[in-house]
Amino acid sequence: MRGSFKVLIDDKWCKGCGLCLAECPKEVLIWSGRRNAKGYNLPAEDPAKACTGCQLCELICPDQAIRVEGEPQ
Amino acid sequence: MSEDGRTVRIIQGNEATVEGAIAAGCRFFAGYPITPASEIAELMSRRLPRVGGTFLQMEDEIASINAVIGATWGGAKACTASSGPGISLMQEGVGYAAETETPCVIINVMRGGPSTGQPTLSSQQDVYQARYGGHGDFEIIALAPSSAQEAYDLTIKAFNLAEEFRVPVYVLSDEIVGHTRERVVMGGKLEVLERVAPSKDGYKPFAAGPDGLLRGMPAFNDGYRLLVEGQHHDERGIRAGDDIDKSATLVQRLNDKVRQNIDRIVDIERIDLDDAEVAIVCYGSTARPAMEAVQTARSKGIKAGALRLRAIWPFPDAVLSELADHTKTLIVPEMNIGKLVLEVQRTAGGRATVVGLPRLGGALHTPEEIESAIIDAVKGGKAQ
Amino acid sequence: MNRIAEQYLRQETLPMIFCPGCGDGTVLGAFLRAVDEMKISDQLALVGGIGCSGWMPVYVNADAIHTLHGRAIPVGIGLKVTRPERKVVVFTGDGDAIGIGGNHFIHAARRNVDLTVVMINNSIYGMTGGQMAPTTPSGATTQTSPYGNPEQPFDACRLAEAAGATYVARWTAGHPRQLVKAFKEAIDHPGFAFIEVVTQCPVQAGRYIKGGMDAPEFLADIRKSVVPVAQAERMTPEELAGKTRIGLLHRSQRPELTQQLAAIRGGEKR
Ligand SMILES: Cc1ncc(C[n+]2csc(CCOP(=O)(O)OP(=O)(O)O)c2C)c(N)n1
Ligand SMILES: [Mg+2]
Repeated sequence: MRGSFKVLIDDKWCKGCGLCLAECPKEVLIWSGRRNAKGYNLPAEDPAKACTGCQLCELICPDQAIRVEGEPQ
Repeated sequence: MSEDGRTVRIIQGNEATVEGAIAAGCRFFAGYPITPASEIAELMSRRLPRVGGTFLQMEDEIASINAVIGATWGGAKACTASSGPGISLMQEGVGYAAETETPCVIINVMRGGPSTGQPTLSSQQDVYQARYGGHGDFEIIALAPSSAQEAYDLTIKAFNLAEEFRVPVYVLSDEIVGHTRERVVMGGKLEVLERVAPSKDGYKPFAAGPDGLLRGMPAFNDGYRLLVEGQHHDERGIRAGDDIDKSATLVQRLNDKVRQNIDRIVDIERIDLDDAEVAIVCYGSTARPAMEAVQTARSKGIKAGALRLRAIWPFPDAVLSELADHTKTLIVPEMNIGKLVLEVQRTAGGRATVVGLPRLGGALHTPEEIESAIIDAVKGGKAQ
Repeated sequence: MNRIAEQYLRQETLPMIFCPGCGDGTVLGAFLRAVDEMKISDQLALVGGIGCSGWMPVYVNADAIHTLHGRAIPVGIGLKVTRPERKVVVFTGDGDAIGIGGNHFIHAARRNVDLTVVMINNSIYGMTGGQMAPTTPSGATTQTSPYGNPEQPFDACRLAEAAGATYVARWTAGHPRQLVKAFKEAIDHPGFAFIEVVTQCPVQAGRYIKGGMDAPEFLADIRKSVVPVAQAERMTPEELAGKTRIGLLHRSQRPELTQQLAAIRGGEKR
């Protein structure tokens, strides 16, 4: 899919399992180095990469902590 | 059928139970065959479809009680029936019904145990199982019919109490009551508690009124978005098993709602008690020879009477305590090793002599046997 | 939180108890998407057994009942027969469904009662801390098979089919899109529908059976072990050794229980 997409990670619900990193076909997600209040490592979008909006990260996230936003062109 | 809509039939206690259940609005039955309760399942399988209900023969009694729980939340009044071995299998489910305040009725046509025991003969050995069979602290209600007529009447009452108190209610019938054919008057103006759907306004499914009771009974798919939780839970049904206060509050209420409203449950019959020196305390089928024994004793000028318990759980402490104040001797005939006699002793607190008359083997006491116990007591002879 | 979760989760029950990386949350997410597409949240009657997987319905904002260990299916049957138009979905574990509840499972399939049963196969007793399950592979070490499991596991799908289930599918937590479709098919299917979902359980099975795999490694391992049914048909028995077939494994039609009961009530059969 083409367009501009954003991967929003909800700090509150993320448990830092890393499934989203492994799942992303474009390796858009990386570890941010930040932790949430519960001490879980948080992922983030790599500014150097472009999300294609496939939503695999959103679908795989067991904690429903990911929202892919954006409009396909 | 008579003018007032009543019918009189000569039927077995088990059939009377079925008719009582249907009259009370029971529209779901799940069970598994077992002597001496099988007729209940058989008759339910014939009767329920004709009144728009559902009969299911399950793979075992565990499935039966759990299907009853599902059907109850599904919107139907529901019951199951079994005897000793099957009732043992149901115990986890009965506790679940108590924890989740699922109204339902469990008919136990008692036979002799332990184990496979005596499939074809009667007993009253399961009175404590009804009260203490499940793990954890909870109260149930148990009614004990002593005739086919009472099998009908008390089954209706059991459904009403289940709805009112949101608890599992046992009908503790037995092989003798279940299989004796007698005259039963059915129908007419019956007192039946209809299920009331609670208002959805700010509704908390497990928030009790001041008397500890939940109001009404909601059903799935009626817009409540219910959460029914077998773990300790809060007023919304949300898990609170790791919350000490909420857990204690729930368990306390599950017990208090029955104990503290016992006046609404006590169901007794007093026979010649006003001037009685000796009283028979009886329930279920042993009340039959007991009544005869009291009559014979009276005809011989002995001041004998009887207290018959139709509701045995919660145990009517106050009634027994008062009886102990006015009576010298209390005799408790039971078809077991001596069970409810312990409750009578506890409540009598030494103020009356309590004599157990236990009987094992499956045969009912004879009236003569009970009468001679009365005579012994009057002579001041025999202690326990 | 994504839109579907915001809309369909019972917010006051969160967070979910699942360990980081547990597949249960992914399966639940796929289920919510199916519910959203079908617009059926009012008709749902969700039933959970006991186990990690049994918690799944508790988080959904629909009528739900969290039952006893192994007894979710009979409770589901009671719900279904009292109002056949409701859509009963049972969430159960491998121990819950085919260990302690095995008898209910096969009899519900035999009756072809219109339930959707979703069994999470993590090949272990997760909730109680990693003991062997009826799905634990032979030889695997767990907390109760320290010398290797001396027993052989059930194939739950073959069991379901043999017992009479009329819709049988197996997917993994790595197939969320296929799961959405399977949920829709199973819920629409008029009869006993069974979906087995092979999931990663990094904390229990990962530690005891898989030698310490984390969630992504575990899921990758599961993906390597499965083959789509169509592909499996072209493979030799040797190639298939140790592989698990995924996809729609069986679909058939035969009389469904609540319809039979309705016919009896209608007088056709008495
Ligand atoms: C009658 C009974 N026995 C045992 C337990 C303890 N118990 C709770 S969950 C569970 C195993 C759950 O395993 P599974 O069904 O595979 O679910 P999972 O946690 O793996 O999702 C057991 C044995 C129980 N709750 N009730
Ligand atoms: Mg498991």
